Formats: sequence, C-alpha cells, structure tokens
Amino acid sequence: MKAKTQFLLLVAVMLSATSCYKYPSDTEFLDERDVVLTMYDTKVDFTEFKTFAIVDSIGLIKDDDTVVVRISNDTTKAVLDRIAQDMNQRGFTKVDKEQHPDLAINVVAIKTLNTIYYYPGYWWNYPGYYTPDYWGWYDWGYYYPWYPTYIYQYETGTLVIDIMDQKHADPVSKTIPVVFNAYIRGILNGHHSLDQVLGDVDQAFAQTPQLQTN
Amino acid sequence: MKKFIAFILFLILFGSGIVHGQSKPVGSYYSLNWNISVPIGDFNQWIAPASFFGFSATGRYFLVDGFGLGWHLGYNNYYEKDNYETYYFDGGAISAAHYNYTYMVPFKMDIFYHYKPASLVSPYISLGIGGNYQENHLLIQDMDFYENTWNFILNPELGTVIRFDKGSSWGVRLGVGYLFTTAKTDFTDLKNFQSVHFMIGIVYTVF
Repeated sequence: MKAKTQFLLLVAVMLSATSCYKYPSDTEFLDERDVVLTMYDTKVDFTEFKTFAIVDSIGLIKDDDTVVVRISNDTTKAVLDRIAQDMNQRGFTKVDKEQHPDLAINVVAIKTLNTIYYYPGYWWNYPGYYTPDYWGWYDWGYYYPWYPTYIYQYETGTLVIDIMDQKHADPVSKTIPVVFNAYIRGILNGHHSLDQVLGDVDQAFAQTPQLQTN
Repeated sequence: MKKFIAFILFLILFGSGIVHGQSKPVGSYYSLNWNISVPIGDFNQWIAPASFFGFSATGRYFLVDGFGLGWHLGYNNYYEKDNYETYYFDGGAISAAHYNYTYMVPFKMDIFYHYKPASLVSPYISLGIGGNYQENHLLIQDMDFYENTWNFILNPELGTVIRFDKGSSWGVRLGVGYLFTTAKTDFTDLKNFQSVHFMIGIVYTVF
C-alpha cells in the first residue's frame, strides 16, 4: 500500500510540474512589435483612383461608447499626416472632401476593455466612427466587397484605417465599398512610441504594393 | 546528447550481461517518465527546438517469455518563437512576431520484449501503435489561431529498466524512441510530424 501511495504521489508531482508551462506572459506580448494586418479587394484596380481625402481627427471606440469621441492633437495629426504622405507617395493626390475624391479615408482607434471576438467592420456602428454622412452620403452604409475571413480579438488597442471607394458607391443598396483595410494592433497599450506607430503605418502601405496609381 | 544515447545503448546491449539475478517472475511494471522530444522532418520546420516539457505514464504486463502488452499515455509541449516577419495571403498581408505551439497527447498500446525481465538491468524493445490528440497554435500577440487534430502514431522504442537492488520493486527506466504521426497542420503544408524522444522514468514493478 505504501508503495502505491508513493507511486501516486510521483504521478501528482509530475503532472503538477508539467502543468506549470503556459503561454508567454502578457508583458512579453506587449513588448512585442505591433501587428500590422492589411486586406484589400482583389477585384479592384487601384490605378483608376487619383484623388483621396482623409478625416481630420481620429475617432475613438470603446466598449462603453455612447457618445462621439474624436481626438485631434499633435499625435493624431502626425498619424493622419503620415497616412496622407504614404498615399501621396503612391501617386494619389489629396483633396478636400467637398471635391468628391475617389477615395475616402476613415481612421479610428479601438480600445476595448473586454476580450471579445469581432468581425472586421463592427466598429461602423460606434458613435466615434465617421459615418457616410460625413462624406456627403446621407443614409448610406459601408460594406466590404470581400468576406473578411479573419476573426480578431481586440484587447490591447488597435488603429483601423478604412479606405472607401466613392467612385463605385452602389445607388441601389446605398452602400460604399471599403477597398482597403488596415489594422495596426497594440498601439494603445502604452508600450509603443509615436515613431513606432508611424513606422507601422508605413508598413501597412509597404505590404500592400497594389495600393498605387500606376 | 550523443553521450546520453551511447549510455542507453550500452545498457541495452550489455546491461543484462552485467548482473544476473532472476529470482522471481515479473508480473507487470508501471513507470512515470520525463520525456524529452526532438522534432525532426516536417515537424522540425514548424517547431525546431526540443521539447523538455513532457511526461508519460506506462503500464506493461508480461504474458510469456519476456513478451507482453502495455499501455502508454503521454504529453509533450513544443514551442518556438519566430521573429517579426511579413506573411502574404490572397488579398492581404500580416506583419508580426508569432509563436508556434504544439501540444501532443499520444496514447498507444505497446507490444514489447524484455530480456531477462527480473534482472537488475533488463533491456527491452517495443513497438507502439495508437492515436494522438494534437493542438497546433499560431499565436500572434493575443490572437490565437488554432486547430485540433486526431491522428495515428507508430512508435518503435529501445530501452532498459534498471532496478535499484536485486528483487527491488523500484528502479529507473531509460529509453529512446521514434514517434511517427500522421499529424499535419493547415497553417502550412507540413505533415507527418515526427520526433525522436528520450525518456527517463521511475519504475515500480509488481512481482
């Protein structure tokens, strides 16, 4: 009996030792470089677009969002300027939104508190997001021409860049197609500098060579 | 590692000749083992580093003349961190550092032969056939893409049991084996995960 007890004790010790091994710590994740994910509509010929306009502030989306929150400061200006700069380098010309640009660019920062799985596009319903009204499309909506195949878990903060195709807005369904989408994850966790965020914006364009006028 | 393999082979080949002490027949034995597993082949492309986080439990029952049947339940956790890279897919790309994880739970039946089972040193050869539950995780920060698979395994093994004293129920077990699985991962084109494992265990014998 004593031998059996010793044997069972050994089993318990070995099981305990192996169960201690887990995923990397949250801190290790946060210290990682950001994640830059980009998707685009493969059916779109980006060379047919020449002009774009971009929002002048960054909308903020949180779980308990009930009012419109948009941030405009030196940091957000630097981010928006960098996006415009990258678009210029790809051959697109920035114009005012009243000049009916081919492409409209929305930028939002998502800071959720809960660990929830979302499909891309869920943020369109939050107050901080720029609705089609902002671009002059009253009572219209957005849609992705492609089916977003990835599900993401938002926890540490995400910058979202949506580029809408205003040349091919569908008057029947009253929707505006989103032809490019970028997620830059991890920027709102306080572990990253502005330079890193701007570098990630550049990376979003660098890994999407299709997004250019020629 | 080479010294360790050489030591095990030495015990297997010459151990039974060192000490003779077959006093009473062995009915069965049980062992708890620490498993070190080294991915090879396609598995090595998914995760290269050896897994030191593994264990197994076995029971072996003698039937006739050193031959017998046994069961085996194991666990190994493989892990590798890859650098920040850009991966392209149809319609997009992702740039990130990522972690590859694989959890493997092999369970099998063994047919084995022990040379002089009751000796102080008793080498064995065995062949295991069974199943394997496997999880592959591609972890990008806190985004966890994973898949579960069930597959078959084949596991030839060489080893030896060394008792602490003549007639003692307690001893240690050393072994080296090759594990072939039909496991694959849809994250890549890799398939037939294989590994070489080394085992050190505590043995309790029932005479």
